[in-house]
Amino acid sequence: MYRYLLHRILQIAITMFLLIAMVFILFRVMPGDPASMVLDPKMPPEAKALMKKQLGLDEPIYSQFIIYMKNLLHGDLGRSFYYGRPVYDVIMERLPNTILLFTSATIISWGLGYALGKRIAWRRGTRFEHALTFMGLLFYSVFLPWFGLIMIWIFSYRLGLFPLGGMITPELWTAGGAGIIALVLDVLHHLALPLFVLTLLSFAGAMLLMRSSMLETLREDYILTARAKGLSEKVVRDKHAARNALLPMVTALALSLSFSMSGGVLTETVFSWPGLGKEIVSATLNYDYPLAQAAFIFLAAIVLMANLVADIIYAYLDPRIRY
Amino acid sequence: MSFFEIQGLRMHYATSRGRVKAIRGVDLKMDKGQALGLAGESGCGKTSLGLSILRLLPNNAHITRGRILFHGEDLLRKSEEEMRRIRWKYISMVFQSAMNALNPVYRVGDQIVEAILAHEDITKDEAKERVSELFSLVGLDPGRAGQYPHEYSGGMRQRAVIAMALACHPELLIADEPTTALDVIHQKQIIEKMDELREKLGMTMIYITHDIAIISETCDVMAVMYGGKIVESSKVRDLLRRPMHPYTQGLIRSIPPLHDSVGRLTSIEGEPPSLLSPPRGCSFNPRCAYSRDICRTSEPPLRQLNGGLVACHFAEEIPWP
Amino acid sequence: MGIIEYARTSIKENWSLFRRSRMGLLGLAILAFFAFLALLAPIPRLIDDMYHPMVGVDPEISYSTPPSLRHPMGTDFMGRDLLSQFLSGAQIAFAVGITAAVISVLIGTAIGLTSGYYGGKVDALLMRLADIVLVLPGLPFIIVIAAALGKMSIWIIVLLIALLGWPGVARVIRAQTLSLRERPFVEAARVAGAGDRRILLHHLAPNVLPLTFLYAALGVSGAILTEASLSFIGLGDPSVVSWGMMLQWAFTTGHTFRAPYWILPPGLAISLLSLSFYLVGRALEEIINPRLREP
Repeated sequence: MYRYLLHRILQIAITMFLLIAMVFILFRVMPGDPASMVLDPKMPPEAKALMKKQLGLDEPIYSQFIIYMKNLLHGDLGRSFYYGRPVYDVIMERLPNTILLFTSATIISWGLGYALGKRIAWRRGTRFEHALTFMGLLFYSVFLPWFGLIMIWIFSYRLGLFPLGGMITPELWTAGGAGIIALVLDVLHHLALPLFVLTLLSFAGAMLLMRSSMLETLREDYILTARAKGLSEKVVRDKHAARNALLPMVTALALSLSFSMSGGVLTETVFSWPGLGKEIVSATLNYDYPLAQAAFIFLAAIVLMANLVADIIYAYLDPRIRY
Repeated sequence: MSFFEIQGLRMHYATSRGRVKAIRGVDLKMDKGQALGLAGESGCGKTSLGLSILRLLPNNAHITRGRILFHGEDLLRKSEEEMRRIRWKYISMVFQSAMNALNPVYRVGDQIVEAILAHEDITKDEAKERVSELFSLVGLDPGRAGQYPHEYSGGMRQRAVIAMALACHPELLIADEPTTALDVIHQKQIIEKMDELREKLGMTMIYITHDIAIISETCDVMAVMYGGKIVESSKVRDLLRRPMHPYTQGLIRSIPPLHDSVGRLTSIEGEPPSLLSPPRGCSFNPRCAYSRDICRTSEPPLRQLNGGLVACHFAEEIPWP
Repeated sequence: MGIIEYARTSIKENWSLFRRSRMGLLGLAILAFFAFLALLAPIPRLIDDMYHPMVGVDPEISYSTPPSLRHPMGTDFMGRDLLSQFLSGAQIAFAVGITAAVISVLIGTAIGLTSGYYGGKVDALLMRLADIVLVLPGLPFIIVIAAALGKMSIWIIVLLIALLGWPGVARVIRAQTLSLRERPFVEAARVAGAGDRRILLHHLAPNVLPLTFLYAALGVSGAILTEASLSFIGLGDPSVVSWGMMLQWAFTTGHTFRAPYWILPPGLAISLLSLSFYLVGRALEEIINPRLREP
């Protein structure tokens, strides 16, 4: 098991390194002055010259890359043009928000997808299965930002049940005196709708994956054995079929993480959720290159970390790897 | 009242191409403690018959007629819950692909414990105790009960599957090609083991196989299936000495003799009939060297002859060297 | 049997299988409907200049109006006709979706065939590359490239979508090629003196063709959604009237909660068209992989 995980960690590290290199090159080979991609145009010329020297912008590209990597490892990601403060600080503020939204949506949607997917596969050919499969496809192909807007329109604008966007009610936090419970509830209130929208999208995918994985598993001989042993339907379905169907599902879901992350970016943008996804969009629109680059690197890192978690879960679930 | 009896069983699979008539009227009778060998080529309905008895057929299978009597009670009229209690406790099965019959994510011993606890009101430790006994019984090291299927060799898995089938001391054991996945040496060991266990435990057994040699070594009675029907049945010794149905004769000719290697070896020409649209008349007629007009129009009934049963219009006239 | 005759019978057979899938037929119906709308796209601007989706403005209207006789779906914030924009959107969706899907399937098939046929180091290298692209979060990646490029044209977007879409195809085609490679007919061709190129193009490629159709159909959905998303967040090609762009205009001019006639149709159209390609793709999948069919 440790060999397997070590192998995966190494692979993920290499992938991460290549992604960073790719982004670095992308912003250096663009036509025009490469310095404009790194240095804030509002900076005074003397400071600019100093920074240019520090970052090795006059040196060949490989030594620039070494400096870049060194800075990255020290948490120095440059200064945000838009905010005028270190990119690292901005990222660290946004990162937990994205992780909160993304992980909770992923966990809920995988759980729901697993529970419903195994049931619809078990009841294949029934109206229940057809209806849920169709519903799954519907959510899977819905245009997410538009769907988010419709949700805001109905539940926030019309019914007033939820805030229009954001993550907190600023007055509540600045006024002081609000208890920790009130603050948590405030965040949850803001989280509800974006979480719902993002969950719906990933849930549909997870359910459809679980359905097909379960259908494959149900053809296995050990399922017939389990039924012949006189086990109840529920035990055969949950303990024997679903438990095995989970293995390919975890692999497939890990691959769908990058897709969910794209959904996360859109959800954050529509709901003004102050996370990395919203930041990468606004940084791009504001020509804030250092921030856009860093946001991308961290978004990719989240996906890779989630992949690693999926690998660990897989290794834990499959005795052929565990032992 | 016989111990186990099948009466006029008919079953088909509903598929997009039409009905696959897998069992087209099967009658069978067994006494307690008997071993029945069910022979025939693949695709003749043997496995479907085995699954019908335990009512484990897929959803698109429909039993349209007949009764399956166990201690005089019709299994086809049992509720799903009643049937669940009968499975494994009274009738258990060793499946064709025993290699994949074990769930890869659970320890082998636990899978057997699970079967025991589903039927008997004993503690987990007692069940584990029994697993150890079963393991010794089939010639497996009891210490391996805590391992996973992928840690077993093919022969060991096979033994584990047999141990599992015996876990609740069933009265009737259906073994569907239990050794096809194994090499010859293991095959022989396992067959001998099963035979020994059957006698020791006084089990009744249905042995589904295409291998007549195995039947001749282990069974009392033998039935030959062709095209979803039983075409001949009799005591093993009688049947092997004087097969009456041309299909049975063909099957016997196609096995190499054990003692001398001089005899001619021939295989049966042609393919088993399509169960989607079985031929009119005798289903063997397109492949039969003796077939005449009547074989193409009228279906021969299973009738008494020389102390056995045979379904052939010309059974009396067909020679056997 | 001639190739045309072969094609005809195989289309006939597969069509009879396809017809049995109700979801597949529904998908095909939706798809046909939007294809029809896309064909109508050039007509409005022939009737009157003000019906040009991008530069045509109703001289009497300078704000968004609900549907009327003159503008059956209403007008946008500066008096442009929403119906003609909607039709143009259909045209763009098909163009973007199909082009991106075809390119990515071509790349994926080529890489999958090469990888599966040659094996060894080539295979290992290509599959590692596929793994990397597969975990790349697609939309953020395109966004960061948009940041580097400054502005996007629709063809760059199409190309990027295609470059991100190939690994899934490549993996499946590779697996298929691995199993095909061991079949007797490939061996026979080799014995008969066929070179690698010939075996790849004449013997292996035709056999993986059905799979590529499946992935093309599924790829179209993804491409349509990605292009719409980019346009929606303001990173699309500003010179192209797509459905995502229509939504972006409504969003940025503050019409989100005020103009259902403007907000609803493009979003529904994007969702339905991508749904239709999924439905068709699934029906194709059941034809290619009979194990998926209900008994």
